[in-house]
Amino acid sequence: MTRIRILPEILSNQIAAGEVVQRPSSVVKELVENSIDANAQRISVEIEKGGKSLIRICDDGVGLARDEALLSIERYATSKIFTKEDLFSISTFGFRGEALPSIASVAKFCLVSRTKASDIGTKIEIAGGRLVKVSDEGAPVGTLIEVKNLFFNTPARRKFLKGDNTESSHIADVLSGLALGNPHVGFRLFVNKKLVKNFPPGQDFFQRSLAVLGNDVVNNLYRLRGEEVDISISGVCSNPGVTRSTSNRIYLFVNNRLVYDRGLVAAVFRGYQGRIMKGRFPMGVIYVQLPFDQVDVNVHPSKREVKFLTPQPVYQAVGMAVENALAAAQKDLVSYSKAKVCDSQDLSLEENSEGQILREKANCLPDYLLFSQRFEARQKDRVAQPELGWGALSKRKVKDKISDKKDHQSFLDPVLDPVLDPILEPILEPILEPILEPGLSPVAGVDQNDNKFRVLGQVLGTYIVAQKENNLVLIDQHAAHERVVYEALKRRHHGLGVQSQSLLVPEILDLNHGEANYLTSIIEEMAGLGFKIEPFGGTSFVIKAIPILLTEKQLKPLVLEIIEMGDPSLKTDWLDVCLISMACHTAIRANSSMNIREMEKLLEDLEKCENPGHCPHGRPILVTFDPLRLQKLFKRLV
Amino acid sequence: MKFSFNKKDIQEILSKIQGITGRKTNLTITSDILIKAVGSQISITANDLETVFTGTYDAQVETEGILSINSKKFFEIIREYPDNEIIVNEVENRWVEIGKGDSLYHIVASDYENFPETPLIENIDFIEVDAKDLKKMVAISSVVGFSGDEKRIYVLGSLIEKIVSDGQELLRIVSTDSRRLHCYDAQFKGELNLPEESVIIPKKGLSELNKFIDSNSDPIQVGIKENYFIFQRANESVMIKLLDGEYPDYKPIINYDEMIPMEVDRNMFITLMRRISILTSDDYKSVILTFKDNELTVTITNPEIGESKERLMIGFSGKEIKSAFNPKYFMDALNLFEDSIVIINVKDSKSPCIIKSLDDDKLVCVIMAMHIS
Repeated sequence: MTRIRILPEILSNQIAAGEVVQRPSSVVKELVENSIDANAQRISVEIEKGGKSLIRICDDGVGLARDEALLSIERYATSKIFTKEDLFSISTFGFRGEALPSIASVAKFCLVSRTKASDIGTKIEIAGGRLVKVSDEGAPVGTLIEVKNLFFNTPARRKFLKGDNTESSHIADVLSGLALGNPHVGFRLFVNKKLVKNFPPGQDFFQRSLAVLGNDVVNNLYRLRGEEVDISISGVCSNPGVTRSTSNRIYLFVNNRLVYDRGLVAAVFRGYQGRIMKGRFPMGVIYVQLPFDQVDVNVHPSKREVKFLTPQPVYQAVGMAVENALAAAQKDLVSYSKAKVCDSQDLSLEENSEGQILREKANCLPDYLLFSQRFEARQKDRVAQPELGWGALSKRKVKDKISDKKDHQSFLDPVLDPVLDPILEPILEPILEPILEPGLSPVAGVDQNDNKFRVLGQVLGTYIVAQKENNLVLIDQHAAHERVVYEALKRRHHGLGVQSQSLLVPEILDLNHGEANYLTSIIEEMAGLGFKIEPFGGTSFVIKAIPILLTEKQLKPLVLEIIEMGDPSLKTDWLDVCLISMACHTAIRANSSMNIREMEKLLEDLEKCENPGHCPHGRPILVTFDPLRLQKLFKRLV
Repeated sequence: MKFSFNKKDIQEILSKIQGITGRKTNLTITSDILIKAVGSQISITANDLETVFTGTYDAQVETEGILSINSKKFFEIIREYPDNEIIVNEVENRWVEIGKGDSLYHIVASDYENFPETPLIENIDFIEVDAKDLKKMVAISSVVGFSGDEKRIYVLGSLIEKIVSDGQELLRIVSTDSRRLHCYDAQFKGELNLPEESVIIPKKGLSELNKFIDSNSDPIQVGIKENYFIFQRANESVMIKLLDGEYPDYKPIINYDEMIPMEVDRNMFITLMRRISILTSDDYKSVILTFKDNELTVTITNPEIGESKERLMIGFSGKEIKSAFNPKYFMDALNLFEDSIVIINVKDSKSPCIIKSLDDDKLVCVIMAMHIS
């Protein structure tokens, strides 16, 4: 008896299905990718019972002739690559030729397709990998694939499927990803016969990103762009104020293929460094384009993973692009720092309960449309309602703040009496002055182009109240000063030259072979930062001198960390930590009163900072209330 | 137990042991002191598991006994107590009554069985060290401090060694933070037998010890037993648990044989360093020393603040030496000397600077150079 045998084809297809088809969403992914590869402009996906009982994908792509259709269900049949060279320059989604036979082997499968050249469509029915029937069928140009009773013949796998809602939301996620990757293609998703997602064809990626990422990013999404040799980065990223508790709203595309790559997520994060609080994740869509031979997508059958030939430049380019986008967005400080407290609360719902996801997403479309209407309405409002009593209002506010200083009680119960306490007069003078600047009427019009901060006062000894471009701005004085001092220290440090302190007792590092090699390669660079490291025989090294700002107790872990991360850009993190703590200690504290001159100077300095939106720890420095928001708060606008 | 004592006899010592018992700890018994009343004396013990103090004092003991009581509260009660004579009486169940009449306290004591064991001081060969010298040793050790989460044994503790210089046995203390190193030799009487492994005394324990040494007092008995270093004087003793670890080989570092020695007026040099250090800042601490043709020039250029230049006549000839240092380390080191003239030794731009006194090598301070690029 021979013990080694070739597996029957049905069985081998079922095994392959294990890799390719893990759950209904993988079916949707494979089939929709096929549709996109077939140049479809509109793709509709219908699912029932989380895709377990039905998945129907319908496209208007080129379609298949009968011979092709029959061939397509054979394993390793593909239209997408022909030679070995093609494999290393893959631009289509599929290429392994495994999807259709794999799916067909674990479900009741039906394919109807017609090409433009043919008048009659072809219908192929397969059940559990066995061809049941091939017949003529009238059909529009394009392909329709029905997958029924998925995993009906592999009960073990069916058992491991999650609930209907979970599977549906996985499908919705997959489709969102595909929709982002192909903004020109229209997508519709029907769950249990109800339309829950509709991404119209012909959108650009920005519109598509808005549609997919949801309401809270509207007006809070920034375009990003970066070009390196061979690498092109584009996409959008969210304002650091709009965050999530997981990273799954960062969509990464490499050559239009939705991928997940930890390095890329980390790179996006680096772009957000200093702007986002610990434990929060931004949202965004990042498209990376690079030559096809620079990236290997054939790592895993589901193609979610990629391998870059040289990852560092890609990561750096992504980090830079994100950082540049945020820095550019920050130039308009007012809109960058808009108060977002309420929005982020709404959103946590969507993340938490899975059943909720679809419902929320189902609302997404009408909401989005509504939103654009609302958005237009807003702009109209802005024009139509020019005469808000800003000047007068600010006067009153100022007075409230001042009387607050004098008497805490009055903060809770604003004094509206217009007669000013004579003692307060001198303090008030300089406050009112800027409001009465030439060219500005006390009741400032909306069209005024005043883009400087106008200090109105201070509350709770901690926050500066200011006005900028008709917006009410609250500024955390400690955070603001910390930022100013930090940037000054940093600038200064770059000009200082490297000071390093020789150690009397050199620290010895014992590394493994790889670490030793890496350290050897960066010894020069480390010397530039003030670390004097010398080989000490074998894979040991001695640290003979260290930067003066560093204390030795952090030393060994620090150097090991630098080696482990293998990323030169991390080498200056320790420096930031030192400078941040120096900045924090010299900065004005909360709960200390400032006079107007001090506050004006602080805001002036703040505006000159590279990153005026966040303190070095990532906390926001300012919160802006635009007129609209104030109107809403006071129910002038419902 | 019941005893009474004179407030004056006890108050001062209670204040001195607050450093040992005042540490934040989760082992609350170490915040207590142990009081034993035996014969006509009471003994007071404080023990934070690293540093142990015990002392015996005269008291009127009515009934003998032991009690463990919170050190801080006991001290504050004694300090504030209106009368000179204070009565302590353990009533029942570890309730302690302090005082009588108008001022009366009822304090909960702990179970003295839990109080950490006090090392026995028996069969120890003590040597005698001058109180002044010992005080100096402690000062040497504490100048070079360390931060809270320091892990390196040789920074946390100072090395104690016996050395032989010109046929005379000396007791040496070495203290470093890896940026400078101070080394001091003291004379002693008696026979000293140190264990073979490095004897490293925690700097913290030494600074506690400092409170109990009075420069003018009698010589102090110093001995070592197992892993405790013991200091004893009359009725009081301090025991410090040694640190476990290796001390780096410091001897090549304090060797100045091949260096160029120069005599410097200590006071002038300190004041010079003090002036020049005005322009240092948190992120800029290096001054440049240039030795050239009988002249020492010290300069600092701190961007955004300014620069300064100091000049000092000095006996130096030869090739110019330019070297960067932290002026604070110079001030620290120079302040340890008492001589009016000290010798500074330099070699080249990267080598350390070694300071010693003109006449002997009792005190040697090494300051590591900095590199500026």
